[in-house]
Amino acid sequence: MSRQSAKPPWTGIDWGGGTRAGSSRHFLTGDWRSAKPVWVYAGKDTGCVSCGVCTIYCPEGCLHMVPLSETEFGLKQVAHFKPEHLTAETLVPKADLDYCKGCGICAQECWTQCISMVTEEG
Amino acid sequence: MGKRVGIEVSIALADTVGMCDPDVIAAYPITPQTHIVEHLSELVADGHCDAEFIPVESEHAAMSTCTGSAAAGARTYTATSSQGLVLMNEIMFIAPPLRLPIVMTVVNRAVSAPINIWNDHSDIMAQRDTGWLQTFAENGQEAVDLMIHAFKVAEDKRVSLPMIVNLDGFIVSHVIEPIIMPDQADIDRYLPVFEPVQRLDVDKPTLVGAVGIPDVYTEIRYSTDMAIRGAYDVMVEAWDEFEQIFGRSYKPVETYKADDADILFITMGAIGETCMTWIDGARAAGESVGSARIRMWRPFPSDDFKAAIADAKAIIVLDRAQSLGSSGNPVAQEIKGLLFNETQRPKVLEYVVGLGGRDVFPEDFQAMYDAAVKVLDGAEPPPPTVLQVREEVVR
Repeated sequence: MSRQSAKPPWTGIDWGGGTRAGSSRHFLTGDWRSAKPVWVYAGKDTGCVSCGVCTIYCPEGCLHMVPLSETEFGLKQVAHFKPEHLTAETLVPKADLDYCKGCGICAQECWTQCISMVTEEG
Repeated sequence: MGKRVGIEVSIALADTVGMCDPDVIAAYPITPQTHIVEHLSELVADGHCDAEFIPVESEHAAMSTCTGSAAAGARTYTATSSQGLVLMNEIMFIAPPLRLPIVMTVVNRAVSAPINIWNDHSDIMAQRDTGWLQTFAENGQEAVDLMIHAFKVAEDKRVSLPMIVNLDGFIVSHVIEPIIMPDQADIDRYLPVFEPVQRLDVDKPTLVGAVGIPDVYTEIRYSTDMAIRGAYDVMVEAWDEFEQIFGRSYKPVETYKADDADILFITMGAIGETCMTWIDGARAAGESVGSARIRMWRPFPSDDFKAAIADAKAIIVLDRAQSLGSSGNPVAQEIKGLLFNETQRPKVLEYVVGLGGRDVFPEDFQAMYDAAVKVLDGAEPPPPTVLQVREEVVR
């Protein structure tokens, strides 16, 4: 799980395996995830309204508001459904999958129900 | 030099702990530990000891509180016995790997069932493998002295481990003995202000008690074991310094008339004194017998023990607890394991004596000694034996 390839020797581990605040940024803590959140930024029945509620509830703090153009399928969805409130520059939530543990709290809390948890294989 | 006074050992011990200036005392009363924490709560209430006394709702809470306060960098003390120690068991395992220097007095008592408030070592032997440093006191003076030593060792930056001082319930704890009470000035000279190596600190946040995945668990348990073994040198060093300041000397394994003895009794705790008294009589009758008393139990002082018994032809190991259904009882297991690969080793006889407060008499020592003499004459060593069991009378 370590981003550092060499594992520390027994003399190199803090007492009791304790860790310093902020140390989890050095590790890919998202690699135990079995499902990832996928957003419908623009859709037929639902769509993200950029409220940011999911980013507040995320216990890992790994959801960030980014321009729609930086999302995976955002621009394709906008091109297809042509919603009036979305442009390439509109800020929408996106998960940092290096740290997302797939807990699904974002999908549970999203009041527009535009987030679905998609099982990842392998 | 402190003043020699006649005083109940529990009270003397509590007064001494108070002089060691603990920051937090979290304890729950249980016989026969009660007088210790009762008196400490009085010392705190009367302003003689500047500690936070936390009257918790159970021993599980006591040890949990101690774990938290030690992690916060407080000099932390608790005491318990028997079922109370058993109830602490879950949290006992946590302090050593986290390197939390909690100091605890265990007033040894039998465990249920059947419920029994009297003395043996069943309670502490169930905690043998939790990773706490351990010493055993034989009398009130030792109990008092070993408490001061325990704070010194546990909090040493090279050690930083929790430590237990064992003393026998009632036999030591409730007896009024002449005890040289330490001077506050001497304790202050011996015991520096506690400076924890690491502590919970809002300015430098750390996570204490994190999950240890398979990638690190082995290394963390190994490092804990290495720390416990490494504490040996500091324990001996702290005894040497204790002798310079207080004038009384302690060793990991003490011997009595052992130099030329063919047969040695191996004891831990107050029974060592009874044994020495019997040895005096046996020596006067021309028997070649002595004793080795194990004072340092964890880490086990293997080299000191081997040296102490080097010239003995047979050793009689006295256990004050059973390891039910095993091939041997706790102290005897330790010693037989230690000696197995030695090319030259004595015959080992092992006895469980004094369970649940049963007195051990001179004729009991005589019976064990006679058995050892038979072994030296060529008889097979008897299997591990519980002495003093009443047998059915066959008519």
